[in-house]
Amino acid sequence: MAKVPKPSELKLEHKFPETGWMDTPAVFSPGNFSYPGKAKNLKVLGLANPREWSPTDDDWKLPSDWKKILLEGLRERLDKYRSLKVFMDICVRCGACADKCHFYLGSGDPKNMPVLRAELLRSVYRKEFSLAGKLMGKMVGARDLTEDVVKEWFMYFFQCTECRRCSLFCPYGIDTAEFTIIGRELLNLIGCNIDWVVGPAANCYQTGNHLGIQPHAFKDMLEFFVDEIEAVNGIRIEPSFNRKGAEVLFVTPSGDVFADPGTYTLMGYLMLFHEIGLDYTWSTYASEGGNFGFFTSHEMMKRLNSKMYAEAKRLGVKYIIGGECGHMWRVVNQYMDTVNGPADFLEVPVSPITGTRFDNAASTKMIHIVEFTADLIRNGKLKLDASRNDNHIVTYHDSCNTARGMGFLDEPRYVLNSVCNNFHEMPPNTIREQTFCCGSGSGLNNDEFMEMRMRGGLPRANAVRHVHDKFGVNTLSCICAIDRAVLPTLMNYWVPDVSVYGLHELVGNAMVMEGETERTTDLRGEPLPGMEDNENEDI
Amino acid sequence: MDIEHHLRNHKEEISQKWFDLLTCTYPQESVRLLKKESNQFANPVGSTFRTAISQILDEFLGENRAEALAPLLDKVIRVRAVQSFAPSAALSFIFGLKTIAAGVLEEELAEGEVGIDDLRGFERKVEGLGLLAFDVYTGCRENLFEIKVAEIKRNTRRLLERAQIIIGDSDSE
Ligand code: SF4
Ligand code: SF4
Repeated sequence: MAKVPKPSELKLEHKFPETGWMDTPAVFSPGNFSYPGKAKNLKVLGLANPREWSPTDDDWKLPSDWKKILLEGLRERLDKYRSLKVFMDICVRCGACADKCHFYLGSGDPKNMPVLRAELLRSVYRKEFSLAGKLMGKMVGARDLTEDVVKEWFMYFFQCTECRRCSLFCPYGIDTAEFTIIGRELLNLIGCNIDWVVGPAANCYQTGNHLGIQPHAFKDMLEFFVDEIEAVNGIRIEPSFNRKGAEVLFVTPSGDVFADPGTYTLMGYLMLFHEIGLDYTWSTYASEGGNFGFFTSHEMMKRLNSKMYAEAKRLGVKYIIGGECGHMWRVVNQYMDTVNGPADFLEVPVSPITGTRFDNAASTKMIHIVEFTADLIRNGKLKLDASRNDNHIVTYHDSCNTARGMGFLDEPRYVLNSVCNNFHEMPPNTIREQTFCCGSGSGLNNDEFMEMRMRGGLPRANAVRHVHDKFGVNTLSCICAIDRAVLPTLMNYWVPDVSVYGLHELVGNAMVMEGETERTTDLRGEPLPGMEDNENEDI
Repeated sequence: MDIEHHLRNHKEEISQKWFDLLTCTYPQESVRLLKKESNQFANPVGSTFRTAISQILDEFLGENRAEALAPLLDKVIRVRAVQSFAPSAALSFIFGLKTIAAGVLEEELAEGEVGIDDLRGFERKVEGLGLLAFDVYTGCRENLFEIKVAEIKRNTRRLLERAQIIIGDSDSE
């Protein structure tokens, strides 16, 4: 019988091995990986090697020529993306990026250091594409591409949220997110991907949105919200669907349509557009702003992005407004123009209410609802009663994609400060460009990955806890649908007294609409500040 | 003078040793990070551990109230409960306090200021702390499962509502 170990022995029995990283294989255990892509979803998307498999299996059922596929794929991408080639060669391993990754900070696993994450791919590049690596191997950090290396790639490229925080601190501007993007693309060539990414991508490809909600159901859901708004302020809103000739097409992540608390943010959009009398339409076909194709490959991202534009063309709108989302905007801001643009059949967005011309969107013809709303407020076009949000002591989480991906920093803060009276920033090294990721982006917001998500979200939550303790912050606001889905979970574990609100939910609370009945509750049906007694009488 | 009094005199040393013991359960590269005296937001785990350990010691060597200790232990254990440790490895640092106490009291023990019985008594107290830590750990793991369920519910409630599985049931959140 095994002896019960003494405590002094136990402390040595931790899972972290003491071998060098190259000799330490990836160990898949519950909570640290996402389930693999289902064969049926791969088939829908025309992706390679559809099969049923699990990362915990010894045999991953790779195609027989997997090594050739990967090396050719890498060569092709090195030729195609100059940045990749440069990033492969210029890292001096200074370590400035090492402790900047939220996954590393929360897990303590060295392979979550950005420099090491990139090295997983770079070591193979050295071996196969550099003379020194061919001759001297390990001595110069080169190694063979083996099945264990593939497993390691799968583990760590799906433990990176492509948030780019690390790149901010690299003196050479090396963007580890690009290694992850390319790494995932290569893995896709041999059928190694995760279902939480390919499932939604397949749904979006077939039905128009990640959840696969069909047109009639999508319309029903919106009509629910119309009823709920009417119950709150007596105003009946009549959104239109697939209406040709509308001035604007509005597209938002489908998370806003089915997942709380995004649903309340969506009510905010409906109220805003109604109040200003915007001539706009929803589409039940381009019913997804998010783009999980981005987490698969450049090609898949292009395919899903093109849908919004095809629909804008079909309906004959002038331009597109997009809802509160993160990666949707990274795609629009960083890639759309080169992959599907320029959208010459549309017009440069001009706000019909203020006359402001959004030249920043001159080529993509798509603006973010937060800049649209900020412009309305700046021009005094909205009647706002910020005291309706007085029960909220608010802080703001910059989504990596809107903040680092597109430099969208001040507009959301301007809107927030207009719709609520109590706003406190988190510490400077955790916000704006330096914001900490929610820990669940880039398709990692699945429940089987929960432990890793809690590790990755720890630095963000730690900063929220700080303002919670210092200023009594009880509300974490954000402008990203993934944030709205995952931050409540993160808060629930780390800072349970803090609730999550989309920015336009707070706008919807504060907006005084023409013809509204006396409001006693917010959009969640909870009493407005000072109305708590009314509420009791009702009961 | 009771043993706690003597231990309080060595608090800095105990804190440091206990912190070292806790951090040495991480890989070497990461021990360096955890020990870095940097900004609390740049090194969240290290600074949480450092502060919590000092607070736990104050309470444990002082009034030793379970209701005050549990939230302090929680600060450390909540982190360890989601990292890749077996439950035993996540909590083993607690028991290390026995060895640390004996080590710092070497002189007092030699000079008879602290008796071996006092030390045994203290060790039993540490075992009590270990049991409390076990409750905290279990609470964290239960929380982890609850949040999974709550997330799935949030993501699907509206669809269920539409399917009229839930009719006007606002308590379902
Ligand atoms: S900061 Fe840049 S150069 Fe330094 S190790 Fe990281 S990626 Fe390499
Ligand atoms: S992109 Fe973000 S998640 Fe990926 S290595 Fe860099 S900091 Fe970590």
